[in-house]
Amino acid sequence: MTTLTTIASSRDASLCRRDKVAYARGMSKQLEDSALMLRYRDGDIAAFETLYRRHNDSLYRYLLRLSANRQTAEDVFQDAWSKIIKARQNYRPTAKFSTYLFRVAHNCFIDYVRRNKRHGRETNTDPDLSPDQGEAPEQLAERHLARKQLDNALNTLPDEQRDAFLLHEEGGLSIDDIGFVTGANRETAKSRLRYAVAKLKSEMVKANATDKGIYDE
Amino acid sequence: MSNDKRQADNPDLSTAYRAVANERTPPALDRAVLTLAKQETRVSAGSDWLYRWYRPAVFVATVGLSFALILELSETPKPGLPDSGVDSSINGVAPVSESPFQGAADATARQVRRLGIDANSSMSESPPSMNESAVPANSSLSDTGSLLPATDSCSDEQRANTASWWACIEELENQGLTQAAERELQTLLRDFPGFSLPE
Repeated sequence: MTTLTTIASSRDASLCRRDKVAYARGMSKQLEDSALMLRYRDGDIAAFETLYRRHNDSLYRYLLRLSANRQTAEDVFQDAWSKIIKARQNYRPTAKFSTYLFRVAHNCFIDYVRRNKRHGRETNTDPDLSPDQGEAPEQLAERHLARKQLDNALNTLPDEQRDAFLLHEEGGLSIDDIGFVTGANRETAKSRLRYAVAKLKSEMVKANATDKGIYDE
Repeated sequence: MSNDKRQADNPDLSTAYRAVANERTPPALDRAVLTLAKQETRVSAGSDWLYRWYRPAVFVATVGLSFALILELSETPKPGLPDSGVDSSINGVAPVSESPFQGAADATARQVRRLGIDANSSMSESPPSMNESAVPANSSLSDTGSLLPATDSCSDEQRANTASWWACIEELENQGLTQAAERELQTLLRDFPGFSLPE
């Protein structure tokens, strides 16, 4: 956990600012998402672009970690957005747009896995580790290590637990929404998320202990 | 609910996760999705136009065709009424006949009548040199039933004396208009009882 905590503190300022802005937007953001989708339904392409920019990265990360395969993530990502684009005439803002988006993506992923029996998991989901501005090589190495730890920890989780954790982290979905997206009841979704969090924490502590042991030696 | 939230949220883990999970969508993927969105909007604009105008256009076309059909049917002569010279079979309405022979006879009669009308009209269209009289052909189908023009008779000047009248009658005979010539001769004999035919 030390490695992760160190990196986290270096990015704390920007993350907090981002969270505060997101929180300040609060409920109205959801309304804006739906309104943007409705405007796109009526032919406003700029509205779609705004909507897309809001959700593209989180959806991509969700699929990247869910599939643990870059190519699969990209295929499913494109498929999910394509379905949303094509079905825009039938869009009704009955739920949060993010819930709708992640449900579509979840179903696309399930379909993809069924279609492609050869879908395999990769150990490295992100070879693109270019240094940030002013980042020292040591920091870059630490970040790489932390990401590897995270991916390894996520890969130890059962699929349903990993799905629940990623929906919570990337989609910002509540337990009810996770249940809706995955088709599970509320208690099942809650239990999956709780087990996922507990197991991830334990895996990361284990990984940090191993790293510390290596460095101590 | 707050208990659930507490169980689900783990600030340390979330912060740690977000610190490392910062991948961004590849630009090529962004371009592909946005291009698709634009294309679909364009396609949709076309299909929306079609969808908006399809139903009214179909409605107007149906009403127009129905109206034209009603007009056409109302103008078609009913079988059994006097023939107005229009072949009813042309309009798709078969004539009602009592027997197959009667139907065939009617059809033949109509055909002959039509041919007769065509012949007359072609005669009327022929140059005056072919037809010595410039009288309309339709008027020839008058009382006598012959093809003589109605004015194929002698003029008042010719009727002024027996010599010129007789000359006119001879001229009519030479032209083959024997009936007109006979009619003129009878009139001459009535008006001039003392007239004796030349040898």
